[in-house]
Amino acid sequence: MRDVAILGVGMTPFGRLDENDLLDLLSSASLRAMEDAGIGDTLIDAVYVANMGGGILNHQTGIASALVDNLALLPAAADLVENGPASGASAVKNGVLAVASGYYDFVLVVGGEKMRDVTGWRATDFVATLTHPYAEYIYGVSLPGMAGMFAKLYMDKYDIKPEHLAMVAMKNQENGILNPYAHIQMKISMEGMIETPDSIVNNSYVAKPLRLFDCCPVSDGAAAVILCPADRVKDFGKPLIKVAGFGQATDTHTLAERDDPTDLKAVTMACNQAYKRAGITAKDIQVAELHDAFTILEIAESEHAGLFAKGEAKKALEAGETKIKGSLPINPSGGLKARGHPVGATGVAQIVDLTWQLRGEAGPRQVENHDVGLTVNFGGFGNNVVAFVLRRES
Amino acid sequence: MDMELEQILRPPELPMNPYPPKVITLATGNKMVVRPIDRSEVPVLLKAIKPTIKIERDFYDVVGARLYAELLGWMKHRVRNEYCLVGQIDGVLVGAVNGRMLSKKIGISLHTLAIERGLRIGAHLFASKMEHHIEHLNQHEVWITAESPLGFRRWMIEYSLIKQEGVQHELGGAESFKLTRELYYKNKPRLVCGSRPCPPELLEHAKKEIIIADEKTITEQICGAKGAWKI
Amino acid sequence: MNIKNKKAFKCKECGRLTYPRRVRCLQCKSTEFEEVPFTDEGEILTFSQLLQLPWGIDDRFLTFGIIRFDNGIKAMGRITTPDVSVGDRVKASWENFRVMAGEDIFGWVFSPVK
Repeated sequence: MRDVAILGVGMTPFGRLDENDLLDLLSSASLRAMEDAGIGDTLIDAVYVANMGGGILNHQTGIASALVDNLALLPAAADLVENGPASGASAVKNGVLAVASGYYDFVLVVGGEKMRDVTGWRATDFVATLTHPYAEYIYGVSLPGMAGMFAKLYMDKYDIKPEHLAMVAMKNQENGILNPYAHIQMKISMEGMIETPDSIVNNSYVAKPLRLFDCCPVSDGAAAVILCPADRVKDFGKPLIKVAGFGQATDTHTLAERDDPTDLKAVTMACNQAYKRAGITAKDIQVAELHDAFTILEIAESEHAGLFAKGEAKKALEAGETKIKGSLPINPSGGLKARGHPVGATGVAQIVDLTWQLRGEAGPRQVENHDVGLTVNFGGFGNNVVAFVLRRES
Repeated sequence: MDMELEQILRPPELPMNPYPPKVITLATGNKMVVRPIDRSEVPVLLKAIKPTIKIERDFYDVVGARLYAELLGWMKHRVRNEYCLVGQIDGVLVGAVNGRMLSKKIGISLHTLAIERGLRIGAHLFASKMEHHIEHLNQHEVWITAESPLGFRRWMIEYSLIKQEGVQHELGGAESFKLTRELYYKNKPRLVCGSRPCPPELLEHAKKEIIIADEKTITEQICGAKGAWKI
Repeated sequence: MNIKNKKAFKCKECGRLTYPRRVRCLQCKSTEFEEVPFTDEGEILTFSQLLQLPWGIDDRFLTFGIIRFDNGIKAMGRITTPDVSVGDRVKASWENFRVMAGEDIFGWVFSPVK
């Protein structure tokens, strides 16, 4: 197995991008990553595209083939990877394996989603199709609904207050203001979200106990990385950002079948695998991009990833430890909450953001210690999780 | 102006109670003043609405064009019993709603336009409009129709409005719904916000000038300025 | 759709309950199952009131949750009221609670036991 590095990264702004179709988004992110890598396109051996909803939302399939054609990368190999909201990290994982095996040298991985072609409730229904078709979906459960049931138990168990969830939202939206690619660039306040009686409309309930500002937006966008053997990076004069390890684990399809529904086992297992491969422990992580599709998930994932003991993440939040200037910054990009969540793009975007951090290229949102970082891409409702550890080396 | 003829053209008006201004704290912590405007303030509003007429997204063009025409008609005394409420943050216009009295008992909800998005401004202003009809104009019911899917989902479902078979809303042929006093008071705790009296300094600031952004800024506020190839 | 959904199973090898049906037992990998009847009542393990509904449902809100039947089977279903708590006893009934694309949809509807 060869060591694999991230040679180039790029992404489109996330948001509601009415002017662009899915192929446009994927193409733009791809070209940005190729330009960042400084790579001639004849070198690209293979392309992995992450996308969840092209067939349902955009009435388009065979997207990987369409992309290599649009980008004039023919005859590169091209595959589509669909793994729900973890499609992005899954695609990167496949790219990493392809390079590590020695079969391909230069691989483009691009994730994208065009969700705003449809109304918000159609998009909600689309994402809900990943739940169990006749034990969950038929009841009208949505991902916010799944997260609501999870939050109810997790908050009771660890005495997490609505204010803690609001702290996650405030932190990530503040970070989002510093990220020009973020979908949401708006500072929010505890007063407006929780304290004022007017919050009943400002921050209305979506799936109790979760409220509007506990949920990520529905976004369009794409993100891309170029992978190559670690020993080739010097040829391009780029910083060496190594894929130190990854992990992936699955859990039961239905939430009901889990022995303890507050235990996100797949997160713990995926992160532990990634740490083991990287030869580190959770204590070595200096910055993390977690999958905060809902604010409660940032708290729960940070604990399941071992960054904090169970029940301790709220204390870190209170102390500001997870802010950009804190001791362990989480989601300095703004996370899904502010950057946005084009489902197929998210896992790749997390790696793009972390790469910028490790290179020291994150501008106003740059964290202080940036040698080793973690990403967690959370698929289904925790039934398919992919984690990456990236490390900056000289 | 031939005032003699003008008097014939001007429809008679029903007496209307004023809407008492209020203040709403938004998610950002900003204070939004909700207050009625008078005819003299319409021209500045028209300037802010004009750019929306060209925005296809979310049917802003339909709502913007009709609201523009309604306000112009009101300013020039061609519509009976119309009122307009605006939302302002630090004087800046963030949204407007209008309606009128069809009769003493029946109110007509006309349009809701949010210029600043993502802060539930449309929801707050629509609720203020319902509040005006039921609590201040003392009407028995308000007739409502929707011209955009967002409006339909938000108003009809959120307020559990009653569908009126065979009743024509004056905005046209779409389905007509009504909010009764009973439904209003049932939903009020969940949907109607704000506090009174509006602090005088906030109200004075709002009344002093309706500040509006330029056309490009308004369009960007509504549509966003982003694209896959930008930045 | 509703027929597949109506039955719960017990692994003949290790006794692990499973709902809905699966091909192999999660615990012992056996493929032999026997049908287990649902009990009339159960308790709420968790629930949520959903107020932003996905496309296809025009209600103002709905409530659903995960229930553990008295014999241990766990299942998701609609709950008739949001005024419930974790641990509440509920009565289970199999009902036609929804129409999707013209088709009657049957599933679990739980109501609090007074």
